[in-house]
Amino acid sequence: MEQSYFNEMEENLRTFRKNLDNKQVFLFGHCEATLVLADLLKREGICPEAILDNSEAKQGQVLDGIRVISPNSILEFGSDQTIVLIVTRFYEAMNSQLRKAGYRGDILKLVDYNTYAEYSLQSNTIERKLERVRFGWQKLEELKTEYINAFMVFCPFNALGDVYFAMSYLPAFMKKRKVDSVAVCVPSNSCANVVRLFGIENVCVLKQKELDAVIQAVIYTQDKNCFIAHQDRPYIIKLHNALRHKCIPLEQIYCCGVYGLKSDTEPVIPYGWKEWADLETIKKDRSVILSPYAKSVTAIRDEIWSEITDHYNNMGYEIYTNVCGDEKPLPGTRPLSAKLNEMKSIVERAGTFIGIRSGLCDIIRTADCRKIALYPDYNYSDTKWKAIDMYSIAGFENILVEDGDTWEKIIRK
Amino acid sequence: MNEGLIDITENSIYISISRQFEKVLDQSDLVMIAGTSKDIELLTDPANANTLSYTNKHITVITVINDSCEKLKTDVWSVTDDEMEVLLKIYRLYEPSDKIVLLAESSNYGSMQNYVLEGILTKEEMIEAFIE
Repeated sequence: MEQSYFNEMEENLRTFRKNLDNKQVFLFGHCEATLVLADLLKREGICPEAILDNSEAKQGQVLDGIRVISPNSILEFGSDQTIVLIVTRFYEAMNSQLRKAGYRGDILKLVDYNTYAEYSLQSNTIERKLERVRFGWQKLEELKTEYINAFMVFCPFNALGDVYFAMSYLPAFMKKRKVDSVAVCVPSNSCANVVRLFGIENVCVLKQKELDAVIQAVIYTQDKNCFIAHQDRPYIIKLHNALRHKCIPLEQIYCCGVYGLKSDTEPVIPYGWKEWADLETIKKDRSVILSPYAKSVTAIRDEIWSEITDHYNNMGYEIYTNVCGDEKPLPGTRPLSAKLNEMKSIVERAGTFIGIRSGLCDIIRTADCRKIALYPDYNYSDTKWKAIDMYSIAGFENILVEDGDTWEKIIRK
Repeated sequence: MNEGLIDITENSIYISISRQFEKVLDQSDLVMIAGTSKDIELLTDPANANTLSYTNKHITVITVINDSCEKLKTDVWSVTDDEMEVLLKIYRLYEPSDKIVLLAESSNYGSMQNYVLEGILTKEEMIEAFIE
């Protein structure tokens, strides 16, 4: 979960803490953000009663130690004895669903992920949204002044993997659209660094809500010189619906769904790499770079990482944990912090990379070394497909980590 | 000033249309906006029309194309061109409900029609995916 959203969730939880007293707490939507909230609540001594989820496949199971039940089941508990907390971007739909079902208890939105949605057609809602679009349109005009004659491409979501795919097929799309010059807008510096890997100089970082407003202005005005390069954000893009029917790998979603290119279109390989200045400090071909952290993915158990560390220690390897910001290195490993465009040189020098499946795996996919991607056992978004089915990367050993697995068992899969 | 930045509240019919829209959204499980003849052809294609009629979801199709409406086995809200313009403006302004599907493609973003063109989905699968 992105730090800014985590901070927002923590702060809102503090603000509304008293509302939870003497209530059974339910969370709506089984996803990574909900599990992060569950952890936070447990640290406060609050044990969620259940997670409400529309997925029949999940209902009746105990996932991550919390039972999953159908949303309507909350009606079996008294409205004044319960409270529902929501930290997904589907707050409006979930709120509406519970109210229509007859639930009268408190429903709290702890994170405002989705500035695009408001389930109301009241005049004041429309006026407020018009104000937002005017603001977005002004920002868009400023961008066009800064990047004269450039075709504007927007990456609405702060995820390195999505930006990687969007950029790797962008040149083919530009050729299709007969566009010479492009400028890309992203919501974070990390995403901007991914864009630069592909040699694109015109990159602009906007705050998330600002970017949302600009994108809304693009949709509202149907500006022909703008494109939103994402597979399910914002709401008007319905590519995600296809996944309810068919498993389409994420890379193909970008190539064919987002950009309308042929399936056999070759992606561009990034080339904006730099060599890490301290490369010589890494034991060549006898080191391992571990990447255990990913913001939008359920974590892999600490024991697995511990077993990995022991395994490579016993073989005399040097072991590094890739860390960023406040992240701590795994016990028995050295921290390693480098820029995204230096990571290829690092993993190639080390010889082995083992990481939880995350955007970083996409970034280093062309690195010449042993690469292992570990997939926690979870479904992609709200679909019935496993993440490993959606995100497998060519050139990697893609391994599913199931309950009860040990490193020894994993490596033999 | 960009001509596209039209203030829909200046259109005299916007209040009545948004009220009707609210009612339709309330009464339907899914609202499909079919603004062009191509959209209607897609929905009235026999295989798709069957899919639409066999679902137990209450679907309303909003269209300005009235000729083929009788072939649609769903509820139909026939609107004028002006009314359709207001509805589209509302939907492009924000998401007033997650029940809405806009069938028309756009040069601003990708669509499931790209999957159909590339043979990843059939037209019928696309319609089923919209409905599910």
